[in-house]
Amino acid sequence: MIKRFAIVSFIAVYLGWLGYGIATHTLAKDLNTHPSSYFNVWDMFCGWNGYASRYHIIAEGESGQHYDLAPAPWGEFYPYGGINRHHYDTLAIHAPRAAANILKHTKHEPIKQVFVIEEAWNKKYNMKDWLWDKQYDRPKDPYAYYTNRVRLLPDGTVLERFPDVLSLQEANFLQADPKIRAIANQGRSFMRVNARPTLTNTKKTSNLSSKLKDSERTLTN
Amino acid sequence: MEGTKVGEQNVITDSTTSESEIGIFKTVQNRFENFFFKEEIPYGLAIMRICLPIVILFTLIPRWFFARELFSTDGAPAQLGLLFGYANFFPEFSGTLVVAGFTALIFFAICSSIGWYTRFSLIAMLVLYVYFSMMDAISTMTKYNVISCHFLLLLSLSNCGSVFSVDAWRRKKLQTNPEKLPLKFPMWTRRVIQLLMGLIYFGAAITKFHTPTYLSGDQLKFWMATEMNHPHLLGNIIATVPAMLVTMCYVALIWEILFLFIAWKGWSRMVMLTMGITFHSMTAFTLGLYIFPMVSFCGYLSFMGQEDFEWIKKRFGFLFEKISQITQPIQAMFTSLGQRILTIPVHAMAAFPILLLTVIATGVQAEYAMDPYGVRQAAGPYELKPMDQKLVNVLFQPMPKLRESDKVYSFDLGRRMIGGVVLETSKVFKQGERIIVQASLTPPHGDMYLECVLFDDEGNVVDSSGKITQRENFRATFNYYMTCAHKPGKYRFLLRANGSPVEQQFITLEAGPQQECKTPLAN
Repeated sequence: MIKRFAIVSFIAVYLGWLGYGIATHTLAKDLNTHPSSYFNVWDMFCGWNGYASRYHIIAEGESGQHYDLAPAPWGEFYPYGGINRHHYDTLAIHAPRAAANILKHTKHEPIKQVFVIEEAWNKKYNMKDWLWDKQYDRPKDPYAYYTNRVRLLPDGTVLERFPDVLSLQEANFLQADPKIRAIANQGRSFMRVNARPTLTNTKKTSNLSSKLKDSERTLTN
Repeated sequence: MEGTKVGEQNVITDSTTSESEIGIFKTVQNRFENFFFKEEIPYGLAIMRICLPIVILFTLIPRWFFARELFSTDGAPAQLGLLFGYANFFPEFSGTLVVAGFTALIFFAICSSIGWYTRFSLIAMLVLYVYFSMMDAISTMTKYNVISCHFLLLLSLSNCGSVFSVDAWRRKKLQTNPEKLPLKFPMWTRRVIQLLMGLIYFGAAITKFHTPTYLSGDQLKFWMATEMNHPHLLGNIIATVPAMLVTMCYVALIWEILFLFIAWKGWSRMVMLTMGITFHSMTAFTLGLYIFPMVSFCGYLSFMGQEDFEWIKKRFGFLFEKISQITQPIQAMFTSLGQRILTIPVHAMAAFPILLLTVIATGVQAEYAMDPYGVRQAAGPYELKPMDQKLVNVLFQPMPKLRESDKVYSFDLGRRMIGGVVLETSKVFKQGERIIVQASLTPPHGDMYLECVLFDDEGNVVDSSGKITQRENFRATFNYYMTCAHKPGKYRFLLRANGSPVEQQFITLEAGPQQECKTPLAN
């Protein structure tokens, strides 16, 4: 009797909890308020944008020399395919800790600061060359956009965070309207708290520093 | 009004209403009892218990080599709680403890699969699996982990260890009346797993409703154009056929909504499960999802009841006998070992913890000897190498505005459209046909002016049309009617975005049917 009562209670509570997850997800209410919601909200297809992103963790030494921290010198973990672990940190939240860990376990000069640079390119350049030639009647000319996402100290303390490539580009489109720009400037304080990267006019040709190894590697490695 | 007797209802109207209410209540209760508590031999759950840990092991074993870095304070864990605003949702442990725990997780996964101390192994595996998944949000925790955790929870509450397991074999050896085995148990855990599968698909359908560009095929197209999951054979190719994507999107959405309601019995169960196997298999070839389909297939095993297993055994029993014959030597070896250790209760009880501790100790020693960070090398820790200054300049250059060519994803020509995308792309057309010229855009692109210009093979402009495309649009479509005024030959479509040429397509125009090209008679 007690066992039957416990089983029925479990069924009711468990299915009720799953139903609650579906209800909150449907109504977009109280989403992402607690880690347990990851276990009852089935948002497996939240959306994929049209740009591929990779992340470079670069340390600047006191001598002015720069060091590429990722992949780590002891090798890096490939969780799913041929892409290193740190490239899956799309919000650049965990990169500071990764940087601090690599600096802790390696030999190097004193480090002044560390940057997390995002590299993004249009996904159409991931197409294999033979498929590109079938689809497009022009040569492939891949181009990547770079922006600093995080500036931090060697111990992982975050000093500044910046928006990603697509957010900056979208903001640029919105601010292209002079009326909107004027109204936005009226509301801005004369004291600038965060330095923001500025956009310049498009430069000619490719900015690749080396050849592509394959369509999914970073365009600069 | 009728007279009453002891035990009978008082009024005709009351008696009818009360009996029907009791009847409905009884019916619902009976159905609930039958649905959740009908007894059966849990063959389906037993096979699921064997398969699911093996699938999970495919993800655990590669991570063991990096357990210190991924999950411990001596590494760079990425707690899922941080994404929800909870900085240290779970406690973090030292490298040695984490390696010990992860080794134990692998041990419990193997024990769950073979069904040795099944319930304990499943519970231990569940606890450790949840912990380690939550400790690495960027390269371990995914939705298939979540689904696996749900499956492990429900399996640990079931009697999946009563058949096809070491525990079942031991019980048979020790049982005085072995013909009473295998035992039957209420099927409620199997039912809850089935409901879970249906709710997962339903929730996934809700997500797709919330994704405006799902039904246009754009989300799938962008997903297929990357190998963030795993390399895949067909994704890039299918991404170039947008009409196929649109069709697949609609079919998948309808299937996900219906699954919870019709995947229970009869022909509809076979249809839905077959479609599910097809869809999930296709995700392996188009999106590079390998583990997710396998976890889903394990979930489908919950749809196998006792009757289904006995039906399969009756028809394919010869296969089981063949496999049994081939594995006879291995079976004999394990039987002999098992006889010695496991049929004596004291030995069986001691073997499990002794083996667990031995495996953990071996794992910790092996990881220490591996020296994952290289800090105990003869030359000392690894030294960071300075970067090439040219590469540094590239990485730190100011970001320019998006190139116009990067705002356009593809430039397709075809005869027909379906779901707003070009169907049947082609480079050869006939006089009299309509050519649909469509530019697919990559957001963000801002408001744009797109112009499509048609050139003949001598470079003369034959036609030109333009339109303003708003920032929220994914496509811009132009229609061209290739009349008899257009001579057969080579033509070129050029797409300009905000004045800059970005894409072009060459076509061949062939002569059309003669009746289309008759000159009109003068009055």
